[in-house]
Amino acid sequence: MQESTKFRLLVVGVSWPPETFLAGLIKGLTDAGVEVTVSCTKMQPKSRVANPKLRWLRVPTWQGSVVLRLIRLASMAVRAIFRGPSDIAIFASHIRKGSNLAERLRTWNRLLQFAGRRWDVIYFAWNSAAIDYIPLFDLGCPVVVSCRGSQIHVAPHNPERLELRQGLRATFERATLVHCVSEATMHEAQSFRLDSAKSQVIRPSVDTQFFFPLERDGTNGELFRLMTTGRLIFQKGLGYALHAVRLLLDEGISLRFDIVGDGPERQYVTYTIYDLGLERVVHLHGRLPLGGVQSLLRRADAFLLASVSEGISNAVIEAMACGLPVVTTNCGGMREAVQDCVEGFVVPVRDPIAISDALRKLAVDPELRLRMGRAARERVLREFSLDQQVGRWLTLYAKVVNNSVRLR
Amino acid sequence: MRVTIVVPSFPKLTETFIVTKFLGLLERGWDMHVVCETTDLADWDRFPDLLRQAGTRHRVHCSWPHRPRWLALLLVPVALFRCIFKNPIGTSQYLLNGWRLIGIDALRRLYLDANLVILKPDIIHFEFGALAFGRKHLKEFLNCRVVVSFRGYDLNHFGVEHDRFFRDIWDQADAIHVLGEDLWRRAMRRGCPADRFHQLIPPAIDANLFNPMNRMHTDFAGTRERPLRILSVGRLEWEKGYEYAIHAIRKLKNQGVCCSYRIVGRGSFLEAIAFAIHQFALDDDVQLLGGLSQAQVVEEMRIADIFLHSAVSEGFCNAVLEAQAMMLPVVCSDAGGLPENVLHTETGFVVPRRYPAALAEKLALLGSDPDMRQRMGLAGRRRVQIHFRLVDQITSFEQLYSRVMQSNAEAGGEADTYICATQVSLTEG
Repeated sequence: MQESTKFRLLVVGVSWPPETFLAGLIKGLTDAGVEVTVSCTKMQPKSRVANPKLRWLRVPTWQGSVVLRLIRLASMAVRAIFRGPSDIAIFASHIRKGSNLAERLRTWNRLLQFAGRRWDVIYFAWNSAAIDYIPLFDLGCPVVVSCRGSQIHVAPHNPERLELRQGLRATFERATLVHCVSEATMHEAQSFRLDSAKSQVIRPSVDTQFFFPLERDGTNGELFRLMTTGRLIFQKGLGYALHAVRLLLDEGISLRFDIVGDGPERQYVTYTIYDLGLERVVHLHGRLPLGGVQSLLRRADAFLLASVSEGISNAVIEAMACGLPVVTTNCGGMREAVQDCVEGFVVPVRDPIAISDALRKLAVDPELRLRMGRAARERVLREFSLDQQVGRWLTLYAKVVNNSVRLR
Repeated sequence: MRVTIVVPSFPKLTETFIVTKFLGLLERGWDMHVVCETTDLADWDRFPDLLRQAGTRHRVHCSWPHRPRWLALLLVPVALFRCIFKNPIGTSQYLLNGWRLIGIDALRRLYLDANLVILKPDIIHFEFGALAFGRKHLKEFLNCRVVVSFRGYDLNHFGVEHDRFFRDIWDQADAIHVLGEDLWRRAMRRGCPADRFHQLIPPAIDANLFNPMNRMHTDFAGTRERPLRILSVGRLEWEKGYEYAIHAIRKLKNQGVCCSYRIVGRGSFLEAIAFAIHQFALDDDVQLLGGLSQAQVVEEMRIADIFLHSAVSEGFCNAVLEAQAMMLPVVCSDAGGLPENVLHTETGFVVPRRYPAALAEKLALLGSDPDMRQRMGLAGRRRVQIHFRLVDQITSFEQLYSRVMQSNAEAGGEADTYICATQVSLTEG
């Protein structure tokens, strides 16, 4: 089905350069002819060159000298008043609720650039962005919000962030359409009053041209090369992963474990490596460029995701695209990506023994690795390839645009 | 003899031991001073002992502000003037040495060390290893002795990725203080020469403050009418391994034991802990109480049946000592100095870290056996009263400081282990 791509899309709250999946989506949309505007605070000088079709709406950060900030804010305000005085009134009605002056100025700084401008769809790639920019829901443009994992599954349970629950409810109520990365995330979001009639699942995708397997016999000699990628945050359950690796070593399996990524729990991870005596076995690479990730993936024998919570892991889909069998915990939408005993193994969360049992099966059986790796690659080609995904997003946006046109 | 203690913040609820040590040594006639980054007036009110003693406020010196930068720049001449006025010889010595070694940067250092220059201490005691990192110049510039304490996180994971991270401290410090055998082994694993002068001084507890009154463990616990009351006290950080404790509670519940688990403390790992509670569907069984005052903690300990401590990284753990003083049987992991702290099968159970099933098993055992809880509770209190007395701790610090000053005469002389009286009896016990 050919969808009309003649519409203007605003993507809000992106930190540039964006995550791989978002970059892929934005590129796919601009290539399809959609007029995409990205609003972001930080922008690297090269990004304009990287995609000349992209439009930018720069929202200045609320940092630096107070005087400069105020001058910048005043000049933005003057321009905004000329562009869209009615929008200023809309924003003001929201901001009056805030009490603290500094907080109010910060909010104005965030919103003024949007006054007097219109798009056919406004897209929030994160729930937190939608909550931060909630006055934009009143501009009269249809709004699409994405739910991706942690902000739905984890953060709302933090007793110090209970306001997030209200934010989720408010944005779900007012959004035209809500996108979820997995069925499981949609199910979880429904506990924050997400109407199933206006929610839609589009699972993430990978560039299968870039992530593809190396031609080889599936073995690395004696050494079992295990790998994981992801930010070093507690959600990734790396403590359990390292514990499982220790159990495997104790059984006499020789292996190497590559961890790619960085994050706030780096200290926890380095300590656990040290405490479990895994210094020689585990290699902590920090953040790597995409090429580095790809080449490590293609040399690995298996991928491990020991997360305690996920929406659906992009890292796992990338690994599957590289023909790797996957051991994943059963959290969030992981079962939607990996079927137990087909593309890998699905084990319970927080269970190092179950993880190590599954890994052992793969470590001792190169045939099994090869078979599951092939199944993984086929599954990705069938369900998680980038071209299909861009088409799904175009359909989704077109539905939103057409509906709103009809309503007008 | 003037001793200056360096800490990040003073007084602090989670670091009561610094306050008791400061007061104890002051009482015995040592000229004690504290240099810290911050001091919160609200926190002073929580330490009546500090307020009772006259002049303590003037013995606590806050560092000059580092930020904003422009303010720090403006204050550099003020700090310099003050240093010259209060300690002309020391300041010129500092600047001369500094100029020779690090050039103009000496002025910035002087600004950061202004309080130490003014105080002219005989001994500078860094209460945490991490604080001494990058300050090896002080010993030479101020011509004083340096003592460094290692209390856990500093040796466990500070700079653990770098092989020779604490090299300067091993070379320069006149004495190393560690809380127990395990920390000393860690220090050696991280490059400290085995013959370095060090002293093991375990933490101490005021057994009068942590008074269980006449508590008795007579109830069979674990039923709906009388749930097993489990308590943890500690900052909400990954080091404390709360996810494993919560997992153990889930296992306990699966075995049909009714329990109520209360956690005292706050910290940056709150989200992970709250999520674990939600994931294990324990919202009704686990309560996060936030930070509580010492009196409130004592009250919580009086109600509890068992103290649970599931740390993955630990120094020695004062909260576990306090729990033993409160006649609480302890179920804990074997992280860091915990096996030295709790006598396995005598005052509680020590199980391998990261094993929720083992924690659950011991919790269930204690829950079903009030006599055992009573016996272990009594043994725990006795242990604290004998081995972890405040007076002994203060005496040990006096010995440490005296020895450091004596070794002044025999510079670079004998370097050996010095185990204080308490520690000898502890290892024998």
